[in-house]
Amino acid sequence: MRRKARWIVACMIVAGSIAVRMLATCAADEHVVAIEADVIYTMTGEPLTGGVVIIRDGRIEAVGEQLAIPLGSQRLRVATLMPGFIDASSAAGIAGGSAEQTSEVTPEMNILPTLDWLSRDFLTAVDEGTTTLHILPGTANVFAGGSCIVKSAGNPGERVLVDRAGSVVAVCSDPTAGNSSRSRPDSIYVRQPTNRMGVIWIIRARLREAQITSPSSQRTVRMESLQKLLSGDEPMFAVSRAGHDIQSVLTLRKEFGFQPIIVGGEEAYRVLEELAREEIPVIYQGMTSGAVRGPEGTSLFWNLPGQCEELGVVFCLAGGRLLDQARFAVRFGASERAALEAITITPAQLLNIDNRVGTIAAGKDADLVGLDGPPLEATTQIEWTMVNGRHVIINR
Amino acid sequence: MDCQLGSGRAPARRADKQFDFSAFPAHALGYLARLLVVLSFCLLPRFSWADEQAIALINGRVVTMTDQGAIEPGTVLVVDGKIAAVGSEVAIPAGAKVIDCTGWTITPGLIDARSRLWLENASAGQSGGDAALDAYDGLDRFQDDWREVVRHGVTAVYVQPAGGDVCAGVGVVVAAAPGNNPAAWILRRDAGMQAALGVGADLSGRGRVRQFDRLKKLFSDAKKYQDDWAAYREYEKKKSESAPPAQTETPPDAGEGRRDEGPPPGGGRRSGRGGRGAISNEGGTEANNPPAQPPPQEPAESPAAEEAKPPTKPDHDPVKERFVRVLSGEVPVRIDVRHGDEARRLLLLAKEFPAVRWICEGLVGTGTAADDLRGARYPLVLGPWIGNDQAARDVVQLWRQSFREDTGRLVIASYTSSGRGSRWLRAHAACAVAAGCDPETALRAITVHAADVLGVADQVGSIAPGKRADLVVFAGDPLDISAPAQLTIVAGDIVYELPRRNAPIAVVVRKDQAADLPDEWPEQFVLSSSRVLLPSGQIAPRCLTIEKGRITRCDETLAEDNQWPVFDVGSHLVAPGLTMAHTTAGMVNADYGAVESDGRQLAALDGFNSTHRNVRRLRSGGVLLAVIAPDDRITLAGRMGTVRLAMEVSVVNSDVGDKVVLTSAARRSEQFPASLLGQIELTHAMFTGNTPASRMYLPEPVQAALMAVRQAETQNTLGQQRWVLFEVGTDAEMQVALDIIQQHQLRAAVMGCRNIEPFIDRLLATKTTLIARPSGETDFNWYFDDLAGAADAGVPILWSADSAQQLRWLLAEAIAAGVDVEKALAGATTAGAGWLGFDPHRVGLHPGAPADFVIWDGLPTDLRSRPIRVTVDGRAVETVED
Repeated sequence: MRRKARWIVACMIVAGSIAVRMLATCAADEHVVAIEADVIYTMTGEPLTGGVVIIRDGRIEAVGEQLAIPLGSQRLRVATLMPGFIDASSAAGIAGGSAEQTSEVTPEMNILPTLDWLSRDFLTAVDEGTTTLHILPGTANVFAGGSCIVKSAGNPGERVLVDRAGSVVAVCSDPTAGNSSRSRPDSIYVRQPTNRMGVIWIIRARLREAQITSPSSQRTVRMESLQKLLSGDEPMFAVSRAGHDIQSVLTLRKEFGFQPIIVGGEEAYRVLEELAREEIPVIYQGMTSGAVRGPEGTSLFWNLPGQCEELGVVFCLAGGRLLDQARFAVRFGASERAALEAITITPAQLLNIDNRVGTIAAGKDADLVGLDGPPLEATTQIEWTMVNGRHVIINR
Repeated sequence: MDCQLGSGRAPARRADKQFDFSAFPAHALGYLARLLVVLSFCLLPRFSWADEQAIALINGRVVTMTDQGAIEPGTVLVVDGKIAAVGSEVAIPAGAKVIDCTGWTITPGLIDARSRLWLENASAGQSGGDAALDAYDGLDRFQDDWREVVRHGVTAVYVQPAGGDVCAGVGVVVAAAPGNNPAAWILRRDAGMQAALGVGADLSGRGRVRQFDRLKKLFSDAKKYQDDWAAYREYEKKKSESAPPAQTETPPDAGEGRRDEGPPPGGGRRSGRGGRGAISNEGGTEANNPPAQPPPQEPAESPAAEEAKPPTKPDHDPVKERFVRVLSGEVPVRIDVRHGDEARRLLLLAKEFPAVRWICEGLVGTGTAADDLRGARYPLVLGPWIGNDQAARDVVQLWRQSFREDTGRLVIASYTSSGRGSRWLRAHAACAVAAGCDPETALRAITVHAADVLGVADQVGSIAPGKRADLVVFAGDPLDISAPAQLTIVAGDIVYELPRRNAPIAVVVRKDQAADLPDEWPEQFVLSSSRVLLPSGQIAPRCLTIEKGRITRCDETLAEDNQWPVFDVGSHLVAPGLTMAHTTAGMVNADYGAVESDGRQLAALDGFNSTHRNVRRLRSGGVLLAVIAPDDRITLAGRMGTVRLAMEVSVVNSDVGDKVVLTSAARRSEQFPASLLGQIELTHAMFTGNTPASRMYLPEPVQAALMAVRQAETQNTLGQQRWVLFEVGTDAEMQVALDIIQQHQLRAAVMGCRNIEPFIDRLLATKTTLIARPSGETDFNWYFDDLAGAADAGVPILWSADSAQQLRWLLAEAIAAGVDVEKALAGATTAGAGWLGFDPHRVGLHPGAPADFVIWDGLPTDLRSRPIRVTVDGRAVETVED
């Protein structure tokens, strides 16, 4: 019954929006929006009850429980308001191949220009409440190139948050796929690495080379990007899923001193204590893979967020369907607060974009998600998603 | 508004759920207004009134396809989904929806006698070759292709299981109407039995013999099945006569006793329900059907029963039963013939099974056997006429005589393998006209004759009272592709309506004989025509004085002091040659696939063979200027050059710019770049001078020299003296191309992207030229809408295709979608020539320019017209007769 009523309301809203749209040209300069919500998860502290968020020109102007609503502002009401979710590991919109696999080392390349802004992936992201996406190149070669951070909707020109967020290094067996030392010599698959040791060797050899190359001699774009990794000027996103791969990241870290962020981390439960000790954060994608790894049983795997929380490992949930992931994490042991942070403020901090997104606070981008109930209830639905205060997507 | 993701496009394109925020309810006051909007939206999109309300199309030229001929002005009245009245004086009932069709032509809905509507490729694939399939079972009524098809006036399509086997099964005639209305949707089941005498992997002579044997066996098995049943029934009949009261078996003729009823002797049953009925009754049939029927336990009284062993009751076989209906001629065989051997074997088969009705299709490559086939007087389904140049040439060459002599049996079909391909049916028919077919015959071949052959002439194919109201209103001649369909009605429902009201496009009266033209022009002469295409795209009367291969004067009237012979071509169009903005014609052994991805040292013209057949075909098709470009196998594909297709092809400029390929055609995993990522890297490097050194094994000085050559022209490119062509396919590639153009401020053109609308602003901002390509079989109509939108917004458009005919087809489709005729004509002749790298002073019909022109017997954008005289440097060009 309630569903049906909601459907009708949604219909009315759709029809109304069409009607207003026809008239809207007259009132085009209207850019102040006031959202009243029963609960606002600002993610800066305890949730506000019965608060108001004022948005002007795509930015949050004010948040509070007792706020005067400016005259002439457009008004929205919703049960629960959250910051737009941040997916810290995504491949949305990548077109024409996700890595230049003809070479093992292409750290100077950037994934940003290959994004298809019209891709359906972004529509899906918006449907799921995700407003910011960290897009990583693939792992078909060892040093794949630079990642970028974009909004899931808006003008292509205004959607880029960070055009090069960090460098992606595949510390896993992915780059060995298809390679062989004994096939036809005219194939690119006759190349290193052919196994996991080869992957580590390539990383080590290239980083060593970057270390000993003096800044004055033979500086190339490629060498510069490797040196930025070493100096910590550029974050390193190490794609590692198996326990031993994460171990390798730790080993390389000891040798070169860089500060990695683990992407994937399915078997991070095997090395959690080291990760905690070394303060290495994890962008956890295990919830989306669906596979239960290792002989230890499911609980360790499903409750990685809970364990991270307990040991103080910074983690975020990534790889799509973020709200579902957060619910799942809570069900298996994480606290509600940690789960919600893991899809909002934590990825924002990890990606160094918390000045723009990740919380509901004055001055932040108006990236918001309106829900019809408590966010971690399985029956709660996303009613709309707002990106930069502009695009409201009615999800049903 | 700010919706960037393209809401408001066709629904098939993107299911956006975006709405602008400003649209959100501000306060409760708007509820009433919203309710009204909801109501109006509920009412608008459904044409529900069509069921009750009559439609009257008035003041149009009605091409009835009956004895009435064309009625002008005439009215067609549609009531209850049927045509109620046709004529010049028709009383229009009160309350009828009246549509004024002044200047427009009303024809029956067009019928494509061989296509794929509703039948996806996956559903039409392989078969067991045993006639078991029914195309009906593969139809996907949720497909949206019919919308694409009705927009071009096609309302009925014959589909059959794919011709990949000797005999796949039966086809069905479907309507291009919403699939949720079954009554309107299916016009006829079992409209033909697909068969082929030489298809599949084995195309050798032996393979064809095997195919023939298999097909023949299907026929003989069916014959035997029929005979067995006849014998059995005969026996049963005699038996029942001799012992009337005690019956175990029902005689076959007794009313509802369908279960035991064998195949009808002469094909009495209609529309194939028998076959399926038998399938559903299988269990029962078996129960009634012990393997060896013992003779009835009756005292053998009659002497007849003693002397012959009683026949056993044959097994029911639904497939064979279907074939029995083929034997009797009830279901025609659609026989695919593509070789002389096959044609001869078909005639043998026909002799053996005289009652079978044959409809010949395929019909390319039959060689001299074409004449034998024509002698047999089977209906011929000819096609394709465009799209597949080789097949089209074959059809024309082999069946030209049929245009005149077999007019009553000629059917034109699109032979497409995509449901959307039927929308080209008119183009196919127009090309048949260009090839010499009478326009009347061509139009009949896609309406009334097609209906005849498909067995649906009692329902559709002509405009007569009582027929189903499948009608099209064209804003011009039905066979002029540049005249769009204004309105399409299927079974009384308006299923398509062009949003704009197109000005009727004048029907050009085509004279059969051109003005008396000499075989060769004299040294000096005057060419006079009432229709000369001027550089602006306008058409006006002019007299061109031509002296020694050059145009020396261009006057509105004949100069009084004229001393040269005057050739008046009347209303034939005199136009500059067409300009092909991009072609790889004449490129021989120029596959760059094997070298490195940086091919900037290579010039397309070095691989160009000016005497190549395709080049001569371009010229005799009316193309006189062309940009010759390298192919698309590597990213930095090489240098493009411009040529004038004179008798001795002359190079205008061997290096006008670079071609950059961003599509997947230039990505190979063996070689950098294997991804778009790498292509971007390489292209940027090209403009920043950082391209990777050659990986070829070259001595160092050679290596250095090669890199120098590669880099030599970069400054000229950045200085906009050269232009850059970006070949793109997907949206992402288009974005990348525009990014690069913007960043390096290039004079550039993009080619190949189908989705243009989202990029119009950026194309304008970067002053980028769009090079349009013909749409593919699987493209949607919105491609041309996008082109029209871009042209409207002021994006310069140049045109390119694989052949002259396809170029004109592209222009015609674009004009039908709303591109301005003059703009299109100018763009395809002189307007873009300067930009592409030709000398503007030497292009076009003005004094000082070389006497390069084409005399057309209609507009070049009308596919029915032909270039009747191509002249280069004042000399007539011999036409390549295919």
